[in-house]
Amino acid sequence: MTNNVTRRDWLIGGSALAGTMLVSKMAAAQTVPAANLNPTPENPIRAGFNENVYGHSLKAKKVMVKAAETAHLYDFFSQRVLNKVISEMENLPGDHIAIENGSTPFLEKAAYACAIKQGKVLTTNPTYSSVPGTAKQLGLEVIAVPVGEDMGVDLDTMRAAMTDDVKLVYLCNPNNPIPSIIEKNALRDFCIEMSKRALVLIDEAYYEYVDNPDFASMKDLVTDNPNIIICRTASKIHGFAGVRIGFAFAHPDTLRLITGPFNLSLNNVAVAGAIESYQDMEYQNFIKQKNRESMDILENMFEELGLRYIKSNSNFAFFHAGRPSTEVAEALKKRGILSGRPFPPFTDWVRMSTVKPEEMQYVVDVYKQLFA
Amino acid sequence: MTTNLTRRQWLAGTTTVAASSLLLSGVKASAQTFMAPNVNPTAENPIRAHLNENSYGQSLKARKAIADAADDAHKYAFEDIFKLIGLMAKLQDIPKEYVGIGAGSTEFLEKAAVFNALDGGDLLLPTPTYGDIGRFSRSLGSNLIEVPVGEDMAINLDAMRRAMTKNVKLIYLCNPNNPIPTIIEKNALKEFCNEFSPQATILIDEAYFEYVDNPNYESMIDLVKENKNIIVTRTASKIHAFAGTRIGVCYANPDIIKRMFSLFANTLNLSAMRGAYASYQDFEYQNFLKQKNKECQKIIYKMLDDMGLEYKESNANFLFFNAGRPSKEVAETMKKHHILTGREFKPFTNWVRLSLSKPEEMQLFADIYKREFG
Repeated sequence: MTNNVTRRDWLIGGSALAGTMLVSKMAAAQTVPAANLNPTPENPIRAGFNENVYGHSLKAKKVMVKAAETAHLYDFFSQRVLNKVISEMENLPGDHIAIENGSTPFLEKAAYACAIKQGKVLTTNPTYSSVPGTAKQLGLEVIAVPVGEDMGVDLDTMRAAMTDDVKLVYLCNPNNPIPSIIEKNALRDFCIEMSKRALVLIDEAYYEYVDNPDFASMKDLVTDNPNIIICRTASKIHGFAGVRIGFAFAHPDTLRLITGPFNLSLNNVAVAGAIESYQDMEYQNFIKQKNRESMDILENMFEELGLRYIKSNSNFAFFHAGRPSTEVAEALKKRGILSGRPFPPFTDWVRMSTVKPEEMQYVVDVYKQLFA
Repeated sequence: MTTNLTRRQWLAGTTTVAASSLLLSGVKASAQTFMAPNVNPTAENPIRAHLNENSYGQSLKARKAIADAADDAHKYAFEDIFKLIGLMAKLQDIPKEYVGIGAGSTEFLEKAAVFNALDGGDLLLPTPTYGDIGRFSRSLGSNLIEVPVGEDMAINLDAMRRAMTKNVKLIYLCNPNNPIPTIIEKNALKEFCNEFSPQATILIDEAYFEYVDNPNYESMIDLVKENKNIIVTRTASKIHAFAGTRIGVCYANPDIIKRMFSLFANTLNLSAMRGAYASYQDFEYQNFLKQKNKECQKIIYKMLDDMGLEYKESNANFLFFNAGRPSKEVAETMKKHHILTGREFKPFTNWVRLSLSKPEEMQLFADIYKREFG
């Protein structure tokens, strides 16, 4: 089921939009799936995986349907178009950009590159587990420095933990499951310093959601520093979790370490969709605004219930439930709501992804009924 | 442009289908639809006989599954991976712990190259063959031992046996091979695998497996079931027409599978997986394509026989023939007629790789080729 919104409604946004969405049947410039206000175990509210529950931009959807007609053919041209779009947007040379099926292949291959050098991985804990998980699977030692008292990534302790054996430093910024950011100047210094001794990978999966003057992408560093890699993904604000497009920004020699000789692995439909979605600023702004609304609803609840939480720079919250997150997850699941898995050692903390504001309100109401 | 075809016509097959498909376009209910042959190629819309694609496009069932998946594609696809793994296991009668799914087979070839580099091993492979694993190994700094195909242009297992060293930790065999569509005799291959799998991983790339109709051919999947150090890779890029959709399947013992696929295989397109789930169960469609491929082969064999040109009997969806002139010259000439043919494959610079598209298109190729070079 979908509801129609006119372009004006879309742009107006705010809670008025939620209302108009239900009544409007006018010719639509944009369409979004309706909020799920009767969740069931079969059709739950998905607040567990940091997805974009609005789905794709209409413009992206449209070209994807068309691209499906030629998905039986190899297509080497479209990825060059996508490369150009990103190159212009990010102001980076095209040969400093690689495209893959989400950022996962880059994260895995960075771990492989580290393994080939028989190096160790330096990272923080908790963080996104693709790099440390892959490294452990390959038998590498992972030095995981706990986050600080403020639950932010602790660069000073990481610096102290650095050794000559470390060949890969991995940071997720904003971090995940804790949606904190690393202060931009401190991070820049850290990257430059560490890059003299190891490959530094900054995973900026949640980059688009950040609205914080202390945050900056580290992408500018890649043009004159071959030891720094930036990863981005379309899985979040672009709604491409199950479509798979991701980017790595790095020096061409470094990109060769984490990509195949020529990229044959891309889905034409995904590439065509990404070309549109990355240029659809109206859509991205809409999603950011909706994310803010949902985050406000969640943070109001935390304040009201006196629960400790980390100010979010992302599309998910991390809060201290004061009880095992598994208990919260089980209780919510019975009510058709999926929340995040446990993230040791923060087993009493819950990661909650933003959903549509209407759904977020529903989640908050249920949470209060269960635990207030 | 698409042409409609009723289920009966579809099953009737042979050249009647091709003819009737054009005449009957516009019939009401149809069980299957495919793209009409391109008999008036242009520069913008050429006949694509250069990349071993499936020019018929995807099965209607797959297309429907792909279209239906669009509304779910903003979600991570965790369950669909297990569902597709389950199907692939069932189709090959192998436990699901022996199955991995990737975005085409590229991913498996790259990972095998990485693990070989991690083990500090050399790569042993025939030449010419599919170039992906060799290129990637080279970029990782691995040493390659390339063994030329034999006099008969088939992969020369004896020469490979002689070239084997202790440092080789990965052996790559594409069977059927590419660009030469020969196969390796099944018993000889099995013996080779049994002999060397204790000391090296053997990756058998069976990308063209579905097209083979040859009693001397056999998949090496049974050796995987015996827990040998063998990886069999398959792809949906060929008979399933997923070149730009990307699904590949890999069969190997659970230790290898665990090493290849991290925490979760988080790289797969949900629509592609739903499409593959439908396509791999659509045997009617696969049989139709096999039949069309044979028709294409016959048309080109006849042309080659008429002209007295040397060629290899094909076990795949492409041919390799000795044009008696540089393949580059053939490609340039045919391109003027808006027909794309394969690139140059050294050292066989006078041989042309021609992908088999549709019979009508192949007939057009044959007519023009005879006119140009006959």
